[in-house]
Formats: sequence, C-alpha cells, structure tokens
Amino acid sequence: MNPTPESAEATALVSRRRRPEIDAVSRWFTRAFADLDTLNVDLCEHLESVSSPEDDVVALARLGRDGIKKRSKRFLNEHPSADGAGVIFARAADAEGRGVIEWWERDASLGVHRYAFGLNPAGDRFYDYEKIEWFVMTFGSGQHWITGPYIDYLGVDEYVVTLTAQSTVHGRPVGIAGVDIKMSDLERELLPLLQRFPGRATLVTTHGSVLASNTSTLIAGDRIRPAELGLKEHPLRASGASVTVAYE
Amino acid sequence: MISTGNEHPAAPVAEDALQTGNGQAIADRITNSISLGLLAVGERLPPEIELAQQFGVAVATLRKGLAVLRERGIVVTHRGRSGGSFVVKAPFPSDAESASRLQGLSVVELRDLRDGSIAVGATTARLAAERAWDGSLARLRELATGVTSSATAATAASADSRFHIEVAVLAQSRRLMSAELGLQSEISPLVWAQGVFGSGVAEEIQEHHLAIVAAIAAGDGARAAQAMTEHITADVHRVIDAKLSLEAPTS
Repeated sequence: MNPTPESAEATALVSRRRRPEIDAVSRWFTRAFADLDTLNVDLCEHLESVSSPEDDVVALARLGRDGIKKRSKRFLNEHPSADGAGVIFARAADAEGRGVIEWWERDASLGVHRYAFGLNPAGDRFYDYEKIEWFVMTFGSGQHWITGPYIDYLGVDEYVVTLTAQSTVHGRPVGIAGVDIKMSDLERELLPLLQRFPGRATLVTTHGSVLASNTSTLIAGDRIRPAELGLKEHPLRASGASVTVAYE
Repeated sequence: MISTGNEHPAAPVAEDALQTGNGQAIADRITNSISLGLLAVGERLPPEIELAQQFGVAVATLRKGLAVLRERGIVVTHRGRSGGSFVVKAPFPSDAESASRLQGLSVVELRDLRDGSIAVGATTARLAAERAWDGSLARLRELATGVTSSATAATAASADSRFHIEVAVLAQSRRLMSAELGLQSEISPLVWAQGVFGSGVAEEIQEHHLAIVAAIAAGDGARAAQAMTEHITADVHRVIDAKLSLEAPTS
C-alpha cells in the first residue's frame, strides 16, 4: 500500500516523538530562517515604499539605504549571534555591471557599521559575489540556503556561514537578503542542542562539510559521508535542505 | 624585511633609531601588501588596532609606519567620521630596489623565508584538499593561470599571490590565511622582480599551480602538500640564484 500523505506525516511524527533532539535542532533552523524572512519582508516593503517599479537596483539601494541601515542594525541588535545582515543586489545590467551591496556588520571597535566591499569588476579586490554559492543557490530559485563554512575573503574576511532568502520588490527579484553568522557563534548556538543526542550527532551541508558536532572526531570544516560513518540523516526543510542532521 | 639602501647598518643602534627602523620595516611590509594588490589604491586601510594585530606590531610602531607611508606619498590620512588612512599609490619595486633588497637579505634569511612558506603553504594545500568542495574550486582554477595572462610583473606578482591566498582561504583557517598574507607580501615581490617576468618562468609557475589545483580537486592532501612544497622550493631557489648572480665577482 502506498503511504498517504497523512500516514507519512504520522510516521514523521512518530520518529520525531522518538527524537525530540532532532526536533530541537530543526526548530532552531526554522526560527533562524523565520527571523531572516521577517527581516527580508520588512526590507522589501521598505524598498517598495521608497521606489517606483522603473528604478534599477542602483537607485533602489540609494533610495533604500537609510531604511536598510535602520532595519539591519535593529536585526543585529536583536540577534547577538548574527555578525552581519543586509541586502545584496543582483548586478544591474545598466549600471556598468558594478556590484551593489548594502551590508551592515558588527565590529568590536566600530560597533555596527556599513561594510564597504570592492564592487568595481575591474578592481584587484572585486568581490565577485554573483559566483558565490549563496547568490547562485538563492537568487532566481528563491529557496532558502545556508552556505559555508567559508572564509569570506574580500568580503567580511571572517569564517562564517551565510543564510539567504530572495528579495522581491515590485514583483521583481532584485537580490537577496542575508545574515552572516560567525562559525564560533553558530557553534555556541548549536552545541547545546547537539549535546542532547545520546550518540554522535553532527550538522552537515550538501557538500558533506561539518558545521558543528558533539564529537572531536567530526569538526567544523571536515568533509564526511554520514552513511559511511553509520549515521542516519534528517534533512532540515527550513534550510532548503542545505543542512542535514546526521546522528547515531 | 629590511629597508632599502641600508646594506651596511652601523653596529650600535640608539633606541630612537631602532624605533624609526621598526616604523620603516612596517612601512615596507604595508607597501609590499599594496604592491601586491592586497590593498588597492583608493581603499581605506583597516583600523590601526586591527592593522597592528595583522602585522604583529605595537600600535605605536604601526603609527610610525603610517607616518613613513605618508611621507612617501603612498597613503593619505583624513580625520573625522569618514576618516582613516587611504591608499593613493601602489608601488611595485623597481629593479634597482629589488636588487638592493636582495643584496640586503642573506641566503640564510631567504632559506628561512622558504621554510616558513613551506610550513604554511603545504599545510594550507593539504587542508584545502580535505575541506574544499567542487563548486569552490572554480575560482582557484581561474587564479592558477593568472600568472601567464598578466601584462606586467606587478600584476603577475599580484595574481601569483592571490592564488596562494585562495589556497589558504579554501583551507578555512584564519590563522593560516593571515600567515600566508604576510608571507606573500614578502616573497612575491622577490620572486617576480628578478627578471622572472617574460623569461618563461611564468609558464613553469603556472604548471606548478595547476599541479596543486589537480591534487586539491582530487582530494589528495598528501600530493597537494608535496606539490606546494616543490613549487615554493623552486620559487625561492630562483630568488637565491638571482641573489648569488648579483653578487658574483665580475672577472
């Protein structure tokens, strides 16, 4: 007999009931992306209110800058584990192909400040962000994604993961909203949840890169195949299935 | 790093002169970073505290270095809210400057530069092989061939440096990346200044880069480390040969 959606749901519920620790990890990611979505909706509504549908992304960024600043700063104040937040616009076809980014970053000495990226494609330090995984995976598809762990060289130069969602203004995708979390802060958030698992438990990306785990045999950055280690896998839907919990 | 035109330092050095010397040394290192494109013209230098940490010196020493750079017309400093030090000129050492630098460095110092570069470079290559995923290698492949498509020694040096830094980025270690940035700012002007450009060595260097990329792409850490070790050894030995030929007695 084919399982009906109801029975599949019931099975999921049963396995969840058996694994409250998976549920806790899953809730963390659901919450993280819900927070990003809230920020994104707020940013998009703001951009829509200050612009007209004919404005290109350069104009959008200029008109929206103060509002993006206010909202990103507020987000960073309310989310101490986030390191940076803002909007990365798709490069305008009619703006000499320069990058357009409104990004706010936490800094020990400067406080929350606007981060200046190299946005001139002809420059030595051009931040070629449309080739980075978070842009590729989220822009166009509109799916949530977690990229990392990676050192954002020429970007914020930190060891981070980036959570992304697509930004749509006047019915048109204009770029992506993102949140950076430093790997050390991600670990502080997730380690208590992973330590609830009775056996080995780890969070891995689609590339098999470990984000965090409850054992020294699996450390952030390591690449693994969970099945070969005898681990079961539970993809986290909220992350666009870019992250899986692997556990014994 | 020594300051140029200072091949015969006087034996006793007063505390004051030593301090100025440190300022000059840090100025030279920042200049090298700029020459390599790690800091671009028009760009604001990181805050003083951060920069001092990056170069491993006291803030006071760094300030002396910035003063030297202002005198040389390489940076300007603006005060106020949107202030800071900005790069306004990107110098690549002239042949005379690099000849003088090479004469000032002993073979033992160059060997030490090689040893340090191998320690960091081989480890970054091994870790990159273990940690990088396919999608993140496209950029490294592009950078591997940058040395032969560059029009000048300065841009080739910058491309070479970027390749090594990208390997460190893929290694996902901030400490190693920071060490690699420092090493590249020292090694790359030497490798590219000594008549390397246009003499076919760029092709050899590119071949080495491609061998490193192949090992990283194959996920073979041991082979990546080995390829990097051979590459750095060849680079530095060319520099040592250049130094020895500069100082060979003319008969």
